[in-house]
Amino acid sequence: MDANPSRRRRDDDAGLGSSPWREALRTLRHDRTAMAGAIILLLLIGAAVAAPLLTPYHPEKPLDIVALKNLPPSLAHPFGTDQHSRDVWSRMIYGARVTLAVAFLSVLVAVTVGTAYGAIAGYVGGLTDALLMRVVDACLAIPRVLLLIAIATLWQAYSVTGMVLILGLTGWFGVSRLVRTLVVSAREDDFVAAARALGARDSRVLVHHILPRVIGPVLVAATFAVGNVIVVEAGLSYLGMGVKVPAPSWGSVFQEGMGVFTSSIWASSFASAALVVTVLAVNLVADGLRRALNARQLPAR
Amino acid sequence: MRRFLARRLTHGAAVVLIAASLAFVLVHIAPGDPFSTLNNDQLDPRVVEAWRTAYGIDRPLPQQFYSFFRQLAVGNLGLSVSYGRPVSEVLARALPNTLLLMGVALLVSFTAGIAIGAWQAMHRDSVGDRVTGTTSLVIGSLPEFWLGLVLMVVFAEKLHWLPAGGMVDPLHNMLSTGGRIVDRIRHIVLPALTLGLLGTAAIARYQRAALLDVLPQDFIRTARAKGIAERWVVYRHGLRNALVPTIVLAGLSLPTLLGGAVFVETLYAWNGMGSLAAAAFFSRDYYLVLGAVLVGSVMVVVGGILTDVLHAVVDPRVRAR
Amino acid sequence: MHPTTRSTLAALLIFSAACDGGSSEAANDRTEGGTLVVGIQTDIGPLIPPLIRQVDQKLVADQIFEPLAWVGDEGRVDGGFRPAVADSWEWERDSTALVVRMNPGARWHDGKPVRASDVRFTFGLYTDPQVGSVESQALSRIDSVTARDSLTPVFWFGKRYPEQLYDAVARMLVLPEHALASAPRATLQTADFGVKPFGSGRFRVVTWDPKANTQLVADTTHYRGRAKLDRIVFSFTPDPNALVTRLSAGELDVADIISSEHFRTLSTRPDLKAQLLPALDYAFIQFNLRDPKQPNRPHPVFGEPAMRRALTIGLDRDRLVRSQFDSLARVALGPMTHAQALADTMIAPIQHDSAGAARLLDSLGWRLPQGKAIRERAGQPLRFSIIVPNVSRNRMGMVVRVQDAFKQIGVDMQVDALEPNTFIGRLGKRDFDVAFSGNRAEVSLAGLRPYWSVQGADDPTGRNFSSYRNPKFDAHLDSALSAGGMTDARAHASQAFATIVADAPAIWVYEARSATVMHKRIRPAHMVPGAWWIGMSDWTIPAAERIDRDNAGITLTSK
Repeated sequence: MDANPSRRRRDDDAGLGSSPWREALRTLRHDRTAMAGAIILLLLIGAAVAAPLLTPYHPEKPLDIVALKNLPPSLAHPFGTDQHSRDVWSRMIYGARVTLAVAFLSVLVAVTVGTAYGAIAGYVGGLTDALLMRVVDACLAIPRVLLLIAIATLWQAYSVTGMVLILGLTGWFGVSRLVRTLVVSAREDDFVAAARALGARDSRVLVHHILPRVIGPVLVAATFAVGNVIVVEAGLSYLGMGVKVPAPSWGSVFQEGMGVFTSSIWASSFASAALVVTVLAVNLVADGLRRALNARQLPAR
Repeated sequence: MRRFLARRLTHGAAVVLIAASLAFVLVHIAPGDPFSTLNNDQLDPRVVEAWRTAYGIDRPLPQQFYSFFRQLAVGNLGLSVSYGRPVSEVLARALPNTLLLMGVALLVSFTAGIAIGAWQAMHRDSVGDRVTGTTSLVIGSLPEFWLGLVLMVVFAEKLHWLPAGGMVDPLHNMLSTGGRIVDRIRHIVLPALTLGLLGTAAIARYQRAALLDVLPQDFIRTARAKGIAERWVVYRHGLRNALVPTIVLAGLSLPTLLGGAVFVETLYAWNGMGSLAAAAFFSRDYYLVLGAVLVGSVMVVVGGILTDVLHAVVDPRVRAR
Repeated sequence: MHPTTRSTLAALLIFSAACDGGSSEAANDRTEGGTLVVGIQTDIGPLIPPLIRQVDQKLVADQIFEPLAWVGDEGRVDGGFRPAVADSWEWERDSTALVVRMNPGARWHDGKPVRASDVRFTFGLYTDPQVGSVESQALSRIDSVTARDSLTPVFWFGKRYPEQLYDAVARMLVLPEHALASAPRATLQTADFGVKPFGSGRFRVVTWDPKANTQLVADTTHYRGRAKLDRIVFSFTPDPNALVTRLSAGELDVADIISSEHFRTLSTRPDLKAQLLPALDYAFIQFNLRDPKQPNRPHPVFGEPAMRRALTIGLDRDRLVRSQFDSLARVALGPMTHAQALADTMIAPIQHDSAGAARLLDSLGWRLPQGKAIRERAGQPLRFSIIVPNVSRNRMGMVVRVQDAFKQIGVDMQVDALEPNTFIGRLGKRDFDVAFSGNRAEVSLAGLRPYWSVQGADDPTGRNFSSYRNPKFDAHLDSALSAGGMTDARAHASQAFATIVADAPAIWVYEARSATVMHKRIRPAHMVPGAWWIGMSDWTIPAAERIDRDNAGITLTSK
């Protein structure tokens, strides 16, 4: 929306060369809200990586289970202590590792599976397309919570890998629908038809001509999904299906905080705040990405 | 139109069948069965076996699968083991509650979202626009179980304005007709607010973006030059077209509202499909899970078709296709 | 003063104050009326007494139905019962026959009279294997029930045992034969009676909606006089935080509180008061004495009694329990609770001794290598996993504390939080190293047999998941169950408990207290340990303290 119209006309075709990407990047860099979001995200990731430096206590160590449990925030414990007298600040920083890792990786899984599935469906078309998409519709018709409960019950040990797979394999449906739509419309494109008429192999057409068109919207969708999955992870932990006890994640800090909500709102409130800040940052970046990519004048949405 | 409907209905039927089959597989491969938790009591295992036979769950899976769909064809959803009642009866009590909650929540999201989005569009790029945008985003990204509890503690416990959960007052049957209506309204406010606020942010954002797309600057400038209030222009031309993505968004949120509002329903003791399906899964009440998924997916499909029809009605470009 | 003693004293003071207040108040103020709103956390579903498995179902059933006699306030099983359907009873034939005289005025809520044939029918239903009642095991010691005349059922026993009277008059809720005779036995819960229950109790059902509000109203024509309260409403509140909020907001009048955090929050409310009573629930960490991979061989780690003893004394159970529960639980002494009549509460608890535990572990070959935190033996670390049901908040909280406490003595315990169905499944298949189990103690010690007897160990479908085998324990238990009187029974029971505690097939972790929080205007009565609700029909609300909803009145609405 802010892009220079004359610059727009110079980009006669998406998919040839990297100048449209550089355009998008430049737009993004100048987008102040998106940059703010990106900085917040980087700070969070940095804090997670530098966890040992930032935390005075071990996240799983109870300090004094009788005297020091459920303390309100203080200088010694900026986020207070939980019902096991563990320092909540330390748990949140270490928990960021798990939560952010799970969020990014599960979205990666979801996007990979969804893109592949949607691309195949959209490209092949016909009855296969119809059938594949009906399966996706069916999966979308079942609420995600129920799917998560059902799949999490089969898995008994909730390692980070397990959570990534559980969340990723229940989150790819929307992406596949998006990709399929994009692929279907790209398929009609003159350029693609020409390439196929010239005898290019299907895989080459897919990768070289269609996929670049898909990456933009998928990237935007994926970024939004990261924020969404963080909240879903909190919900999973709330149901008791989160990371293995006593490992911290934002979701497990949340769950323990909800258990003492009526007497001390601190833990769950700090977890909420962290969640909100992260989701906000992610959404700002995603919005910025969308604006930047829209400026490249994509084909009919 | 007829061909469109026919095609959508076939698609819908396929979706429902696939969803039901998927649910069947998932609930059966989960370890245990409706009676496995009973092993903890002083029960003769042979008695438990007899129960398994009585409810037909000791048969091989393909046979159970086939018989489920066969009785479905005659409209029989089977028996719920945990309630001892026909599944249709159990669902019939929960479905209206879900529809009511969903309807009011959508109403909240819509009205708040459209109003906020329109206001933001009219005051684009101002401080108010950014602050509102951020605030609605903050509220929209809060986990619903936390938001719900905060609302409950604030409005029910601290302020005593509204009841803390439940669908009706414990002494609802002693109230007059007017009193009963007021009672129901009072009880639906908090859960609908919790669910509705979460969707408001998304709708507001869509509204704002859509309005900004649809109302080019010159349109507004012309209106201003002519002396017509901007608001009038926004309402008349903008909203009608901007309604489209909002409708689409509402369609997308149907599965969540219809069967995924587990946290809100449990927190507010709202007997809805979401908490029913989750509890049924935990107790391996096979037929109840299947019934809930079936009904839920039928509603999602119907909702999707209605959304598309509405979409076509509102947007003539769609009709031309 | 020691903190535990202080809090126990406080609890007792609250309890006695409430009792005193109740009796003098009741003597002065006999006005009837009031509405009690009870918060329940589970869906009571179809209510058919032989099929009851949840505490909340008992809570409601005990208001609608009646047994022949209620358990007395001291919770004794050999006497002190309060007449309900039965007026009196006497023993014949050297205590192998119990002749019960029913009140001729006893009526069902549909007006028909309650007869001995109903009692005989009830016994038949409770003991029918197709019905699968949890009471059937205990009731199997009653040979038969006959009707000497229309108001005199007779219970016939094979031989005498201590809880005879309890089993006969207090265990079963009398059911109307004319309503249930034609119900299918194997699928009894599908009977319409389940959603339209009626009994002979002092309250009758007005609205039946287990997922919302189930409302009962006092039966004004009841043969023992009407209940003091006008109405009781059971309000379904599945979320524990919502339960606390509703109690604080005054929407609920009484609820059972499980979490010590919630209890603490509620004790700060000026208009609420609490009653702490011994309860029947206890939790224990049970070891699998057999190797889960090769069931004929003992467990490589827990097969050795010294190992189990080392782990037991390595835990400061008192501190752990206090940390989790404050005053809502105490350390369990064995597979029993203080609310059980035959429990041996004088048994010496195993003392915490971390130095002793370290010595024991060293002597068993589990040593701490240089610079490492986990003990090793022959290169293998002392690492095992414990399975816990993830729905039990208290056990989940305790397991984290135990895990850390074990870490202090060099033991690495991994936690596997499982969904209840999966948890029970693994228990049943003996596929575990250690399990954090919970039990509801039975009034009779017969409940111990399936869990700890040799027979239960040998039977793969049995409930002796630990595979604990000690014939001496079985012998003591059998003697206790067939003793002549309570004194004899207690002596044998003591020996049984001493045996099993010494063998340590489990670490007995905690014994819950029931914490009933109620509005201060309520005057409870007959609060029996393990069944605080049993005398609800005698609870009162003094007229001077009534609030709006207490004046709803007794007239039934048309709906």
